[in-house]
Amino acid sequence: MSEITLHESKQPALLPPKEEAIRNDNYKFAMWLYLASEVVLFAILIGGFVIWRVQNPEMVARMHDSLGVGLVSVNTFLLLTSSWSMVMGMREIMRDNVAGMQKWFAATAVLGVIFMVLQYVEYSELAHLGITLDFAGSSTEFAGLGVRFYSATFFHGIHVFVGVIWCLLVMRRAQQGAFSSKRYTGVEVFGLYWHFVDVVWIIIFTIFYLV
Amino acid sequence: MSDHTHNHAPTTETAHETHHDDAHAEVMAETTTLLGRTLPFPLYTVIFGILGILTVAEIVIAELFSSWVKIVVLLAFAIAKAALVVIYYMHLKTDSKIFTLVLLLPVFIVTISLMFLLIVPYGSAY
Amino acid sequence: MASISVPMPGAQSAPRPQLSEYLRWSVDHKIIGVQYMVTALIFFIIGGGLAMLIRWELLTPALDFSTTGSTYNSLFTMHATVMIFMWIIPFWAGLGNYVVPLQLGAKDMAFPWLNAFAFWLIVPAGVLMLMGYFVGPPEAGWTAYPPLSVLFSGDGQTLWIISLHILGVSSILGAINFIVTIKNMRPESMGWFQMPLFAWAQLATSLIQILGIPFLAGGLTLLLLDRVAGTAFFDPARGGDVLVWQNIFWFYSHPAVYVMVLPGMGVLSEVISVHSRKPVFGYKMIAFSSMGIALVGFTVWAHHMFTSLSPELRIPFMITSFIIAIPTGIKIFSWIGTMWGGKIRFNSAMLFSVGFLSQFVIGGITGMMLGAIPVDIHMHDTYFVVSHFHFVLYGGSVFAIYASIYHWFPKVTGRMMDERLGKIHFWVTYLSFFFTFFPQHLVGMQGMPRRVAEYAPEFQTLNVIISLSSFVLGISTFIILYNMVWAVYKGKVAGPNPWRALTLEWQTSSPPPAYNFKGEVIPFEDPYGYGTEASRVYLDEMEQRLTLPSLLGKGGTPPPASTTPEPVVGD
Ligand code: HEM
Ligand SMILES: [Cu+2]
Repeated sequence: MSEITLHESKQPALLPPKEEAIRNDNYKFAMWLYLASEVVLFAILIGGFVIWRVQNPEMVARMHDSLGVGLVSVNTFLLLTSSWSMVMGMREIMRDNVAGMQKWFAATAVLGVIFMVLQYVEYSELAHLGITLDFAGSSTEFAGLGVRFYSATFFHGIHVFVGVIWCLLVMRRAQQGAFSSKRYTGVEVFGLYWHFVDVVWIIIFTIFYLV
Repeated sequence: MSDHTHNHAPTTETAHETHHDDAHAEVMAETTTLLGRTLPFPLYTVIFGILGILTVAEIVIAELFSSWVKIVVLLAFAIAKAALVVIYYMHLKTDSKIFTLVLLLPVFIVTISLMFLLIVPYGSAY
Repeated sequence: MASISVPMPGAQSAPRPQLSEYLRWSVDHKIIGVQYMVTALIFFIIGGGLAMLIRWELLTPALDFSTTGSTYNSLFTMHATVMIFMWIIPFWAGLGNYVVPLQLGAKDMAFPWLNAFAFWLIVPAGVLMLMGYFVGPPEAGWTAYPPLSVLFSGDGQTLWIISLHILGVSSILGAINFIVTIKNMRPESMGWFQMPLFAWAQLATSLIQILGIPFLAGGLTLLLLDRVAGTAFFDPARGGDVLVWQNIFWFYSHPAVYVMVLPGMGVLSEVISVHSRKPVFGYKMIAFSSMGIALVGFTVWAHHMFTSLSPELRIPFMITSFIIAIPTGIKIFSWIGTMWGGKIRFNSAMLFSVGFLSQFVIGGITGMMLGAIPVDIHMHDTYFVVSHFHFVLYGGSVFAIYASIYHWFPKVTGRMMDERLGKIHFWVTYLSFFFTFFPQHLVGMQGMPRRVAEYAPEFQTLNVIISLSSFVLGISTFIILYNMVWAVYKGKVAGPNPWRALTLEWQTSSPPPAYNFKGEVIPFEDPYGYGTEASRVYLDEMEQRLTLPSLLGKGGTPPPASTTPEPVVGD
């Protein structure tokens, strides 16, 4: 129906304020519902590791010994910091300071990228130890560990990757003046996603690397 | 009527405005009161500090101790950290309560299933 | 026995969207709803064709046209997958899309673009699924248990996994859209408990999907890794565990059976109340029982695995399986209470609803039997199970789909379906359904296993009865298909509210205009307040407003509704 197509092509900024307020709520609600799904999905992957770990504690201990906690601790701090810079950026946009927001968000994106690089370094180390995704390629010492470890951490890594891309998009839209202290739902929804990825890492860090 | 304020489209606007007032004051302040002391940092930074301290504590505990107590303590720390992020950074504290419900439901359901899978004897003993 | 109301003389149906609008990207929820439903109907025909082949094969104890058991395996695998994931679930998504925003007096869903996107994911998923059949069909059943699904199935199984992944994403996006719409888009005067029960049912369904599908997605991912990346999640020889798949799969799939039936229960609440001209008996109980089913549904999954679990682990699931029958039973009594003493119109929609009730009760009872451990140990993987789930899924969900088609078709197209054909359709379907699936109980109790192409000769008599009835059942489907096509072109003009129903979707023209409502939306205080003077006044007034010439398309000059004879329908 032509009328509807017309309406859809309007810029969001042109919507009257009331509708805008309704939408805000809608978007955040939708994001939370999406995150509810993600909770379940990550729980299966993490749970798969946990159940298996209960059966094979020595193998995990061996991995911890060879790996150390140095690298992964750095990574954890990177993500925590990125979450912090993310909320600080949002705080800036709440006081109409777009340039300030851009700075903090740039930091968030950079921290996300460094996180991925370090994860790659860690994966290479693990591969060196003979921990691989497929069963046949794995060293017998670590048989079956690789897949359970990688499926969860790599799935999280993909989320970081998506988050970085999204962060850049948000920055671009901020550049174009899409956000202000009155309209920053787009930033907030991205924030929900990014913090969620951080929360997942908090859990993964403790369960996969420390316990 | 009070329970409708957040549910119905035409009133959403006002609901939205008011909650932002609450959130604003707390988030925008340059100082934060913690345990009766006033710290010279915004709320978000204080939370970041706590998260950092908890993480360092976790690493120390993990390196120094080894018993089941350690596992319980570490898990408690992780949950505390996750809760801080969710409550403050993700604004559950000030946002609609229905979001909290949306978060707790999957956590509840997942806990049931994982608990079951954990108590099931492994392998041939099914 | 009353029949349908005669549309007002001279009433015109509002202009219908062009056919071409259904074939391209559209963000109008009404277009998307029809797109979903028609796509689903096409898959219904495909799945039905496969069922006919299955029954043909089972006419004799020996292999007939299947050269090997594998051919047969792929038939029932595709049949079940298509029926569950591409017929029933998308149909409900489509009906919800069409009806829910209208019932809430909303202009559209909360996220129109997302809505269209979710629909268009169905298309590639369907293509992949059907392609899988030709590149080396999946053979592990719709449950895809490893090691069958890892070691023995062809490449089609990989496509099957990817296809289900896509469908899962589509369902999650749709479910998010429904929940946000239902919470945020109602008119101010409609509180949670003035909401139509169909919307409640969609809410519960969407919750299940959001919380359940990720289990399936997680499990499918692991299965995919096992198939293509050489991992060994489900391979006991290499440290894996096949039962992990069963747990994950049923953790999704038991709730998923409620995804298939809860919207049907919502349809029943609407249809029975409207056509009995009585308020719903126990509105809140029905609403809460939907939510109760949604939540308790997550605690019963292992009743599908009784034969694989150690004895002490089975008992909790027997108990929860019995508990979940309670909310279902509450609904059934509510519907009977609604009909009790009503001025029932036994038209096609109502007939199929009553048909649902009778068949679903049988399915529920066999469910309870299977939920009892000792019975299940005996019956598991026999035709008794096949019979159970066809009574709930065909006698339940599909009958409810038929009821919904007869009920809402006038709204969607502006035309009435033929009632006489509808009744013929009902009786042929009802009887052939019964004789197709009831004997399966018997043959199952005698020990005929499910999923076999060859069987012991003593089962043949019953199998011939089953197969012959099933052919009639298959053909009966074409009666409604013909009726629909006929009605689109030749059906009587329906007018805005042929059933004199109180919910909001009827308080606009048929089909509704762009953005659904012209002017303000005024819900009646109680969506099921039939039989009161106030409701009669409300309906007359709405009827009058909607048939004003200015609101119709070109040329409609109906008389004022107050002078319109309302021959058969009482309020
Ligand atoms: C009263 C509530 C119900 C109970 C207690 C119940 C119980 C059961 C049990 C114990 C089984 C497993 C049988 C076996 O494999 O040995 C089963 C199978 C099944 N049920 Fe139900 N059921 C109920 C309602 C439903 C409903 C409402 C639906 C769908 C709308 C449904 C769909 C199915 C399906 C599809 C299967 C077969 C799964 C397969 O392929 O193995 N059930 N049911
Ligand atoms: Cu079940």
